[in-house]
Amino acid sequence: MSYLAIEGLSKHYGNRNILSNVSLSIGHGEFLSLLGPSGCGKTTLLRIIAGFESPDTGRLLLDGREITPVSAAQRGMGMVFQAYSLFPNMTALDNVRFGLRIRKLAAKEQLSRARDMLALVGLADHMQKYPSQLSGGQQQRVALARALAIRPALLLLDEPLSALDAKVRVQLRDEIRNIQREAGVATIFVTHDQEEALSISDRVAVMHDGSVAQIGSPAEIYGTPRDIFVARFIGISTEFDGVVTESNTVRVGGVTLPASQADGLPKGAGVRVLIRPENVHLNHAGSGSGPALAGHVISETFFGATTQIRIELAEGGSLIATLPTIEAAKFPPATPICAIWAPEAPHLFLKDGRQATSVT
Amino acid sequence: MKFGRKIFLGLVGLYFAIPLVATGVFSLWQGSNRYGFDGYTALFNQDELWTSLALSFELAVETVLASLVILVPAIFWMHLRLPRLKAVFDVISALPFVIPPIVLVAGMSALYTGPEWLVSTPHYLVIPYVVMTLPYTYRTLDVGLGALDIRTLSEAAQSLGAGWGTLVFRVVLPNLTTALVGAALLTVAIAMGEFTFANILLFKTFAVFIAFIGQSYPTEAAALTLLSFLITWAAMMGVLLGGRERAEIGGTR
Ligand SMILES: Nc1ncnc2c1ncn2[C@@H]1O[C@H](COP(=O)(O)OP(=O)(O)OP(=O)(O)O)[C@@H](O)[C@H]1O
Ligand SMILES: [Mg+2]
Repeated sequence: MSYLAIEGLSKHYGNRNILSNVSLSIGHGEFLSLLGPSGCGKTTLLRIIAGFESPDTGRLLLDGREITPVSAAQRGMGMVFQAYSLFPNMTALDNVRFGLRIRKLAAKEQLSRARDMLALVGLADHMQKYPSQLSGGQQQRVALARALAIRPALLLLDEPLSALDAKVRVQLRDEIRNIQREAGVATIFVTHDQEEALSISDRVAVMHDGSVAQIGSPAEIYGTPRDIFVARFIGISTEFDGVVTESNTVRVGGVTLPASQADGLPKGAGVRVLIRPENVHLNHAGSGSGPALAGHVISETFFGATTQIRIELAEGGSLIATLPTIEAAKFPPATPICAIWAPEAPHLFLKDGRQATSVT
Repeated sequence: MKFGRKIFLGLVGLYFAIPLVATGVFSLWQGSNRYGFDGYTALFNQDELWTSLALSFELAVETVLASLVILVPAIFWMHLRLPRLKAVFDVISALPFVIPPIVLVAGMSALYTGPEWLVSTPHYLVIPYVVMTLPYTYRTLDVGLGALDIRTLSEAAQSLGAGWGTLVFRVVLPNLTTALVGAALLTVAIAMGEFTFANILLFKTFAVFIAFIGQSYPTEAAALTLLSFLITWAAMMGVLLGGRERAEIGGTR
C-alpha cells in the first residue's frame, strides 16, 4: 500500500521541461533516495512534494488524500535543506521548538519534545547554543531534529550532507538512517552521490533528464540496470561494441564471449556490452582454456582490500578489473593476461539504450 | 613605520579636533576676554530652538517609519522572489545622489499637489527626506537581508507551518535588528541636518534655525553647531554600538 503517490507530475520553466510525467510511490516508513546527476530535476521534484512549487500537471496523494492544492505550511512535511537553514536568532532548542509553537502545543510539551529530539540527534549538550556557535554537521543535526519534532507526514532531505566533509558525511548519513528507522517516518532523500544512495536506501529512484529512469532496491539498481544511462551512472564499467553471434554469445573485437543476455536477440544485432570491473576474471596468458580477451597489465591502483587493474587489450581499447589485493599481486604491470567473464556478468544494451532483456 | 603612523593619526586627529575646540572656545566667548555660558543660556531661551528641534525630530521619526514601511517589504520581496531585479533596485537607490535637491523639489511640487493636510504642512518634507535617505536605508537593509539566506529561511519556516506573519515577525525582523537600527539612525542623522529642502520650501526646521542663528548671533551659532554635532555623533555611536552588540551574541551568519 503506497503512502505517498506521485502521479504523472510535469513541470517546466520557460520552455524547458524540468520534469516530464514523473510517477513514483513510497510506502509507509520507507526510505527512498532520488539519485541523479546535477540538474536532472531532483530538487524541483522534492520542492513540489514539499509544496514550494506547483506542478503543471499531475497530482500528489498522501495516504489516499489529494494534497496537490495544499500550501507548504499546511502539508506538515519536515524538510532539511542543503544550505544551512537554522534561524540565526534562535538557540538550537528554540529552533526545534519553532514548529511546535506554531502548532500551539503546551509549553511543557514543546520543551520536552524539543529536548528529546535534540537528544536523539546527539546534541543534548548544545541546546542553548546559537547556530553560529555550532559546526556544519551540528547545524544539520538541529535541522533534522527541527524537522522531526513536528512529527512530519513525510521527511524530505535535499542533499543535507553535501556541505559537510567526507567523514562527518558518512557518520551522519548512517545516523539519519537509524533515526529515520526509529521514528518510522517515510523519507525522501535527494542526493547525487551514488554511494550515499545505495548504502542507506530501501529503494533508489535514478532520475535522468526530468524522468525516473529506474526505481528499485540498491541491489537491483546496481545489478540489473534497466538502461544504459543507469548502468553508466551507477558504479564503473568498461564498454565495448559487440555483435550477437549465437543465442548466448557476443563477439567483442575478434573474440566470441559468453553473454546470457544475448538470448532472444537476433543474430548479427549490434549491442553495447558493459562489464563491471569486479566481474572480470584474469588468467596468465596461455593458461586459460576457451575464448578470452588477450592483453597486458598497464597499471594498478591500490584501494586497500582491493586493487584496480587497467589492462590494454591486444585488439585495442582497455579494460578495468578489480581484484582482491592478494589476487592482484599475481599480475604486476606488463604481465600478459587473458580476461574472461561469467555468462551472466555482461550487460547488453541495444543501440537505443534499452537493456537487451527488457525487449523480450 | 609605526612612528610615522602615529604622526599621521595625530595630524588627522588635530584636523578634526582644532575646528571643534575652536568652535567650543568661541561659543564661550563673551566679548573682549570674558568667557562664560551666556551664549548657551541665550540659545536655550530661544523658543524657536525647541520648536525647530522638535519639528526636525518629528520629521526624522516620520521619515524613519515611512522608509522602513516602504523598504523592508520591498527589499524582502526582492530577495525572496525577484533577485534578478536587484540591479534595477541598486540603480534606483543611487538616483538621489545624482539628482540635485532643487530639481527634486521642483519635480515634487509638480507631482504632489494634494492632499491639503500634507502639502501645506512641514510633513510634506517627509517625502523628499525618504527619497534623500534612500541610498543609505536601501544599502543598509539590502546588506542586512543579503546576509540572511532569506529564501531558505522562509521555506524552512513555511514547512514548519509558519504563515507570513510568523515568518516576518519571528524570523525576518529579529534577524534584521542591526540593519533596522542602522538604517533608522542614519536616517535620523540625515533628516535632522537637512537644510536645502526645508529652506526652499520655507519650513523652519533645526537646520534652517541653525543657519538663521549663524547669520545673526555668532556665539550662539557656535554653541548650536556643537549641539547638532553631538546629536549626529550620538546617532552614529548608536549604529556602531548596535552593530557590536549583535556581533557579540553571535546572531548572524
Ligand atoms: N526557478 C527556476 N527557474 C528556472 N529554471 C529553474 C528553476 N529552478 C530550477 N531550474 C532549472 O531546473 C533544472 C533542474 O533543477 P533542480 O534544482 O531540480 O536540479 P537538481 O537535480 O536538484 O540538481 P542539483 O543536483 O545540482 O541540485 C536545472 O536545469 C535548473 O536550472
Ligand atoms: Mg538540487
